[in-house]
Amino acid sequence: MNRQKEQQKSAVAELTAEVERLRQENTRLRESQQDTFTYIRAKVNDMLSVVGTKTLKPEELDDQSLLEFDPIGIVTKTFQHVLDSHRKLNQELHFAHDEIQAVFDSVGAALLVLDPSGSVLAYNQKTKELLLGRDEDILGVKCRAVVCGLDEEDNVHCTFTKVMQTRREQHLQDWTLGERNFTVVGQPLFNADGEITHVVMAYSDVTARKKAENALLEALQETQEANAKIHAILRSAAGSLLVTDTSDQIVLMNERAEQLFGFCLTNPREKPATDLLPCRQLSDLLCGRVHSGDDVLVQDLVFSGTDEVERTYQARVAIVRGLEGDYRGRIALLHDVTREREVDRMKSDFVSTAAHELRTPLSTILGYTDLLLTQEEQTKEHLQEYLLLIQSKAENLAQIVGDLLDISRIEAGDGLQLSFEPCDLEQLCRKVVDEFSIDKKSHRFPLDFPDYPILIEADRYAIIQVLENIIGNAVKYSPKGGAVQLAAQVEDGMCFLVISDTGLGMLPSHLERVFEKFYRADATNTAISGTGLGLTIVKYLIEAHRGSIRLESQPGQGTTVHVQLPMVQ
Amino acid sequence: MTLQREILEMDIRGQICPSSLLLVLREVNQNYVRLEAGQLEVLVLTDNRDATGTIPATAENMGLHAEVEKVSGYYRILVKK
Repeated sequence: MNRQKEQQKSAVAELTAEVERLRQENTRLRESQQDTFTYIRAKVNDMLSVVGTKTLKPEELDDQSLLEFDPIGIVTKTFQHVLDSHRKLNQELHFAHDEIQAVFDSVGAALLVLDPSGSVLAYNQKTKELLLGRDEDILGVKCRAVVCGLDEEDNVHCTFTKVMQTRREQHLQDWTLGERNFTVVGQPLFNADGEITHVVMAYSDVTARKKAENALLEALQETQEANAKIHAILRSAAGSLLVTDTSDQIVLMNERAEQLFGFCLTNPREKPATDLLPCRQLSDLLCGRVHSGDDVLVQDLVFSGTDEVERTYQARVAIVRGLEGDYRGRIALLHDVTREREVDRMKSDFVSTAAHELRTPLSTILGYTDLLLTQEEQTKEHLQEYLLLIQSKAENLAQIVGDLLDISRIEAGDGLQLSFEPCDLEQLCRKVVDEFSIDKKSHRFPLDFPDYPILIEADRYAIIQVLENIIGNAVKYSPKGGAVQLAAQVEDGMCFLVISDTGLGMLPSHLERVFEKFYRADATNTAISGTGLGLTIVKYLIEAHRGSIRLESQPGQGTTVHVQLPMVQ
Repeated sequence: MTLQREILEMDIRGQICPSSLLLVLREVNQNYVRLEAGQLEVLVLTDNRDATGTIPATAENMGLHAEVEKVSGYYRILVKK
């Protein structure tokens, strides 16, 4: 029994011990579980702090929910994505770096990356080739020393210094190193705080471009000079010059043309049309509306310019062609030929007049010589009369031929042979007047001379020729019964002879041209003979005596001739 | 061609940090592939101001982008590629 009791007692003790052991084990396990949760919360908080958020408090998430929510799993997964993203980003950065390095090495410009003190942090292959000219490591060396060869900073010209001072990109257009020309660009790089961390310097070799630019400038200058020469030649052309383009617009005018037409090409964008020209025929020529087989057309045009005086212009219009023979426009050169055409007309009139003047006495001579030859029996009086007539007409012919020879000598510059000697002007005048008085009984010749002789240093025959011409004209253009008055006086060693008539007189426009050769005030009046040479020769002869001549005249009031001749010294 | 995007809306108003962040990260993690492909956008409605800083910062680190818009009484945070 006791044995049974002891056995029971022992079993209870064992069970009690086991219960105690299990209680202790349970306590230990609870403590361990709490440690585990504490550890998990600490790690979760560590992870949350990495992502920058607050700690996870037990009242926000209890231990049981913590396991179910699995924040470590969430954050770990997040980190996995962050790492993947950063890995991808790193790959892109590496790729970008390689790309930049490739560009850096292959770019045509010399590139230097400098720190804020100007020391070289990186450089490309072109730097060695263009700036250094040698294979040398320049990392850490001051830019100014390796590039410019300077020991100290150049605050005035250095692009890097300007970048640092202005904190902006800087350009230097024309920088020379040896025989090379560069454009330099300095570009600052900033950090997040706005401080300059690097300066990238780019040196572009523009030597070839510079040479090409210089060559181009020289070529441009030469072209401009050539252009200026051409324009100067065109401007100084002896005549009015116009050039048109393919659309018949005026592209060039010289000064004479501007004066003639009253406009100029001041604005190169405004090209006046040829239709603006005052002469329709000229615009037709310039626009090619006048057809001809030739490239050059010559035509006389009559029109008025800005002075509103009608003149004759000889227009030479030629086609302007390019090197390939293509049509580029037309060029017109206008010469004022009014005078030439007038001379031509006067020459033509002279030929007609001279033929008439020669034929009239010749007809008389031929008529009377025929009469003498065919009529055998002639009275002495008739014979005398016929021969005097023949002699008179022959003298007329001699006079005309003499005038022609004189004018021919004067024109040729040979002059007339003059033999000077002291002559009494009154005697010469009376001699000429007496001859006219015999022949022209219809006119009176009153003379008004001083009591003393007027001695002039003259060629007797030349002065007689002068007087015959002037008095002859007065007689020709005066009505019968009119007076041709001769008056002379002396003053200051000069003799003043005035010959006046009461004849037809002249218009001012005729008066100013009476000394021109071949000019006749009224060439259409063939009843009054004359070649238009007399007064031309008179003027020459008087001026050869160092004298002068001028005329005063009014239509219907006669003409007065003033002759001034030097006295004998 | 216009890509059709699905928008997953999460209304976590009343939640504070870090729970707000963890809830959003759990959704983002679960849908990361579609988000990365631009097929999905996660729209978070929250009234926790801290979340407007932590969610965009974490999304940027994950290679995503987040736009925050303040509306009456809460914030709209759109997480997308």
